[in-house]
Amino acid sequence: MFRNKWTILIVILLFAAIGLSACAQPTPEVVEKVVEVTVVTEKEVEKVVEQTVVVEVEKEVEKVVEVTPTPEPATMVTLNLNLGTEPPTLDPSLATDTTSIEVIGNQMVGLTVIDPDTNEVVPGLAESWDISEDGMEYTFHLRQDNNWVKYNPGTGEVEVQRPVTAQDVVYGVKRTLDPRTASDYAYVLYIIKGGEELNNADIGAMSDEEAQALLDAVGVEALDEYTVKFTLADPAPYFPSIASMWVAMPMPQEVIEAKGERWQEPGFIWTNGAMVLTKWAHDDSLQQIKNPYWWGADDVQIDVIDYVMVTEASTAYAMYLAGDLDAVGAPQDEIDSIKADPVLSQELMIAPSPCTYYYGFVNTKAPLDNADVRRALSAAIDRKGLIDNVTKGNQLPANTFAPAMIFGSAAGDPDIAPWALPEDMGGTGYDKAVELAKGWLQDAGYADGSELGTITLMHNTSEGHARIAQAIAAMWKDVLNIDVAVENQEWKVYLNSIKKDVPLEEVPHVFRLGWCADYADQNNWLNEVFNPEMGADRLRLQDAQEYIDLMDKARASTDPEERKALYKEGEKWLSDTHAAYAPIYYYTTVSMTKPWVIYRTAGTVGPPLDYTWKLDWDAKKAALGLQ
Amino acid sequence: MLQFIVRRILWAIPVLLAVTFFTFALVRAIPGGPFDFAGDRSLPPSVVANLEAKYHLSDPLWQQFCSYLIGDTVCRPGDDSGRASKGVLLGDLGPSFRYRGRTVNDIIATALPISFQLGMMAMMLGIGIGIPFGVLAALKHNTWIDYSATLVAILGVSVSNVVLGPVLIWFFALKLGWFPVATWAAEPLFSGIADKYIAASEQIPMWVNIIPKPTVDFFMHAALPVFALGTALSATIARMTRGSLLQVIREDYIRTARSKGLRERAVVVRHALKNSLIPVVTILGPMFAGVLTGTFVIELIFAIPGLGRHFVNSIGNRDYPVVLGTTLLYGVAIVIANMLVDITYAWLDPRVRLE
Repeated sequence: MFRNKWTILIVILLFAAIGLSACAQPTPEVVEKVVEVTVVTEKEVEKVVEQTVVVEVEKEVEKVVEVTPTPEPATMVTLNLNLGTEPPTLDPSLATDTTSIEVIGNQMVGLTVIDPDTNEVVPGLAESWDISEDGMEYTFHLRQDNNWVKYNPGTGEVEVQRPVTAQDVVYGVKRTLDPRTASDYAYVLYIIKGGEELNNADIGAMSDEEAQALLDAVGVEALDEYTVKFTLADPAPYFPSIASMWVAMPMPQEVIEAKGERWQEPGFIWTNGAMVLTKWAHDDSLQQIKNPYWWGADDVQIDVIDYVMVTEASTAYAMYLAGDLDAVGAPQDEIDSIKADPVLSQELMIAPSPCTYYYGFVNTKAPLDNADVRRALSAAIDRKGLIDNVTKGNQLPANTFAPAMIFGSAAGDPDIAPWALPEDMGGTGYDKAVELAKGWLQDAGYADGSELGTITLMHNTSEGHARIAQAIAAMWKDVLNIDVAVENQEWKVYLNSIKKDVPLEEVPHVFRLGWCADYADQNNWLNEVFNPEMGADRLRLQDAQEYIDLMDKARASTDPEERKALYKEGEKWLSDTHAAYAPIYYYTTVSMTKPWVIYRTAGTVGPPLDYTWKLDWDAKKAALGLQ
Repeated sequence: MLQFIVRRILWAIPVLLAVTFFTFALVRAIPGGPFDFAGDRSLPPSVVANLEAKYHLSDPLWQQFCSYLIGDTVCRPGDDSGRASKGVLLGDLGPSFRYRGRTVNDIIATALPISFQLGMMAMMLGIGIGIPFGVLAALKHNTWIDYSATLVAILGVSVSNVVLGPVLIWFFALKLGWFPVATWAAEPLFSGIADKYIAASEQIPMWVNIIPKPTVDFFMHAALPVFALGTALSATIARMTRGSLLQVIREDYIRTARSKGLRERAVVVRHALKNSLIPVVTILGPMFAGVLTGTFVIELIFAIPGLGRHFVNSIGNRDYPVVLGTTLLYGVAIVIANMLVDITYAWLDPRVRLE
């Protein structure tokens, strides 16, 4: 009896094994063969396909061609990169994160573009723009040769749809601001007249006419087919920068309305940029091919970008070493060994990146309610030592909030917090800074740091942040004899713990955060982050009226030099005189690049525009043995 | 038998309801919501309000739970947003908050087949290595074979995949170059059907993705992660088998079988092994459920687009529907696995009755 059952078990197991592995006729072999032929010679394709297909159903034709979107590697210049993670969306209205923006930046082009080398605003879809006398109206003149294109997964072709017009820009902007779209970044467009009112409206409770009136009141209109005019709520000299952002891109109304949320899938999505989305295997890979109909197609060398989504840094690095990737972020643990390796060190590239790492002080919490105490803490951070021994990525010591590539930045200016800078950068050096710090502590009435009591320093849970926090806590202890309690919390819990409305007894004295540029202007830094009337005011600034006035004046001024001067004053107020926070370092991107990459972008303010990369294709083929 | 299965399924309903309820409540009890912040920037209240309205988070909690269970059409009458959910009872797990435009059903349909393929192969490897090694160690009790098998098993249990994975990559993929470093290369066996969905830009249904085409590329990509996961499982299985078999082999009825002059093989395979498998089968059930619904570490290290990451990351993202969907899926897998375990009991040991 049970012998039978035993056999049954074995049979079942075998069956399962076979089912999963060995069994299975591969799909009609005809198809696969045809695929190969189609790839090899382009002209004979049609014939061959038709011959085979005669036998098959008509649908098979589609299938045959459809398997060919991946062009043969050796004839198509292919760039292999790692996105690191699945882009949460490819819808320009909804994107907030760098991954989505990297992909969108390749396939869409806004009115303006941030040049990846200079980080300056250059013409994009708009060839030129005029600014009215009062700085309240911006008129953009659009190119007439930009078309919406779409990838057809049935034929593997890129198909031209229709020209991109001013109306598409108007639709895109209004769509982002429409509360029903629920765009996270809609607030960026509040600078447009009527934008904030529309986005704040409870549109569900309104009649259609009322809703339409709000939409019509938004200050963006198509003057003709190729001219679009923006009317602003306040003067904003940085508006051309905003016009480069994804939330203000043209969008194809007919597709979005027809396909709903799935319009961003390959085969549906219409785009107007250098690349076309052909494949999006969620959590796994994404592919874009060159848009042959784009106005700048002649300058685009890359035919295909193959992205993988490898989260684990050491795995991505191993793939780079194996030749699967053309560039990769260098894992922090590997930096020492890379620098020591004669070959790999040649491939290491460190570039400044538009981000700043800082420690915020809660300005109202004793004993940090005294500017001298805060300045002493800030000066007692050995920024250079931290970079050389802990972060190791050649970051730059920061004495201001905005890094050098931002308009109006005063980074490295020794007028501001010179004690934060080493001597070779024009600062006082750390030894001197320690003396100053001790003096300020005494000015504040503390003969010794231990009199301050325990200072709590909180960061979000991460190995890197923990190392930095331990190092800084040790510096404060060694130099000023201050006791520091280091705590950490999960990211979202953490962000709630450092909110402005958390009671003083619960909020930590010091918290860590970073900031990266949305656009290359100080307004995005000093004003949006730290102005108590604009941002989250986690610092709980004291006597901030002077600062607020500076920000308002700088925002309204149309004279670039005056704006720079005002922002410099703002930086000094924040980092030095009030020492409301401690700037620590300006980020760098630390990456490895294969020798066959001739040109690449890195650390850009806007999207990295991967399609502008240039490869020595013969060298890549030779190195990887591609035929 | 049928009656047993039906009863177990009926019992599973209140269990899964309780799982849904507690997960629903717990995930909302964690500080921080899905839309408070974009990155580290806090969003203006009006923007948060728009997002919460879109995803119905501004509704009262009971209504949200009701909507989740039986759908917007019943619990949110007059909803004309065009995105009314049908409710989890009809298999609609709702939209993801994080991946805009994707539903939890889409995510599971894409990721589960991959975790399933990895898990199945690893389980087969684990059982295929674990049981013979366990038997061998028990039969050669206190010999060098036993000691070395035990040593290997202890190593297998204690060396974590966090270590083993990168070591395998470094040695077999980078040094020897035998296998690709990472990623998964499964094409659906029924690629013709999949292609029709791709051509129409539609989500490929789960059943199409679940059986991979047995290409060389597929097995080359699968080799390292399956080995890493399979050996870890086999170590547990081997230890369990050895311990249990050692106990059974000292039973009287084994001595009886031997004294009747049965061949040693028949004694071990038919009489001893079968009975000793009961504890092994008990751990196999939950192991199966766990492995099939995704293994976070292996999938992370080998960049496999399975379900494991969604289990973990959805909590950090406060992506409530994904947390609920994956938890429920795991619950269903556990219920089914335990039912299979119970059925196997009855078959392994005739004294057990399914009642």
